[in-house]
Amino acid sequence: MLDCLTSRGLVGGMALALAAILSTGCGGDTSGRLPLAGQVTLDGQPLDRGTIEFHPEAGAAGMTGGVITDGRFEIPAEQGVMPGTYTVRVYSAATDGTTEAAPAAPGPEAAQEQLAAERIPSRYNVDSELETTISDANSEQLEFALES
Amino acid sequence: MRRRGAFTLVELLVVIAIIGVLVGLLLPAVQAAREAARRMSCSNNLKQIGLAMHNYHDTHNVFPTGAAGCCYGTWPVLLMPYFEQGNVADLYVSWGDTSSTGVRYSGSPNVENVTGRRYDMLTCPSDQENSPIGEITSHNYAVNYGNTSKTQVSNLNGVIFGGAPFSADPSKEFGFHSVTDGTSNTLMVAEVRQGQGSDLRGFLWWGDASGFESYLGPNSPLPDRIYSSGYCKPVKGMPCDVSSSTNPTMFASRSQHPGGVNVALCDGSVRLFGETIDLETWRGLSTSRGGEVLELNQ
Repeated sequence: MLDCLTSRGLVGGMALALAAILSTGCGGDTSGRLPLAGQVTLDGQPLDRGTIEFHPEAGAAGMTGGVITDGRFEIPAEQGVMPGTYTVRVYSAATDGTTEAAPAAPGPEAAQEQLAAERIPSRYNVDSELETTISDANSEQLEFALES
Repeated sequence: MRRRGAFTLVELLVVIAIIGVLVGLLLPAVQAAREAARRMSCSNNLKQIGLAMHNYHDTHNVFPTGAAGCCYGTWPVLLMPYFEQGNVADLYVSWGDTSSTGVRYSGSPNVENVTGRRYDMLTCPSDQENSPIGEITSHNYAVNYGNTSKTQVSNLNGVIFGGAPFSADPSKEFGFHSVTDGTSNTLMVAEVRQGQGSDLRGFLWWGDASGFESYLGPNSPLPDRIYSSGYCKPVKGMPCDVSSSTNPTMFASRSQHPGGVNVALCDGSVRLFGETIDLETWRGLSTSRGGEVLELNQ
């Protein structure tokens, strides 16, 4: 009887220890950064492929970005951003074969590469006017409707 | 009560549970120790490459050229005599012959003699090996082409090119004299990952993939850029997309090590840079004459 009791106590103890180990969890420390997710459309159609970048205010650290697939993008919290206002840049290479010259390299005889054209207007990327304020409430329901 | 000589079921279960918990605790630790050993081996390779670069510089007074066009040789061939592979390098034909008539890295006899072999010193044991075209091998270390694109464009979406210790243009030569930011503040060689299948990332014998660009941060969530989608097979941790006029050909430094990438600096030291490093700092580190004020608190 005594044996049985101590055994049961042991098993209970083991179960408790196991539960304690498992419950400590494996979540990484994201120090307050928010995961980002949302939708990007170009002229009403989901943008099939491209990239999105979130640039913080001048001088601040923490630029991040991700890949857009079928209009959706998802950036996990480990690569996320702190709440605040960000300038958004969206890039997408033309898939119809149109090309244009890439920026020139330094040097007198720099040959300009012909690469896939950028199909997003520059007011959404290089000279972006697209700003968004990211908070706990909206970080995973971001919507960007671009017009070409 | 006093009966002895056999285990009860409960006792057996308890023992199994204890063993289970111990194994559960130990296995991740063992795997972490194995990865730590691989990372050490990987950073030792970088140290050797750094020393070879210094020895090359002692002889030639410049760093090796990054690449001769797309297909006529890259820096590992030039560096081979300085890491005891001089006999192999002697067999490489028409290095730097950009006349489009010479033998490419992918032609005979270069494949049999040089580019079809695997070099342990250029391979990081944490990564998966790959041979994207025939038996020609990919490897894991790439030289620093600076903070814009592979062709070193002067202004990429507002990022101003700040010089680099290497170039894919054979007419340009750089040495310690051109590293005015200081050799301990400038990246030299960093890790890259080998793409799998027909993915050409880490394909060091090919001009485009011979270097890395710090426009993208270490282990960047943004894609590497390759000119053709056929050579671009995105997998987890290795996004990629085709080059475009706003995002020309470029490759981020990437690794399989948890948390960051190993990099050899121009002074020969090797550091692990966390992937959470501020992008401006990372770009500033890669420029050789950017004039940034940087503080490396590692």
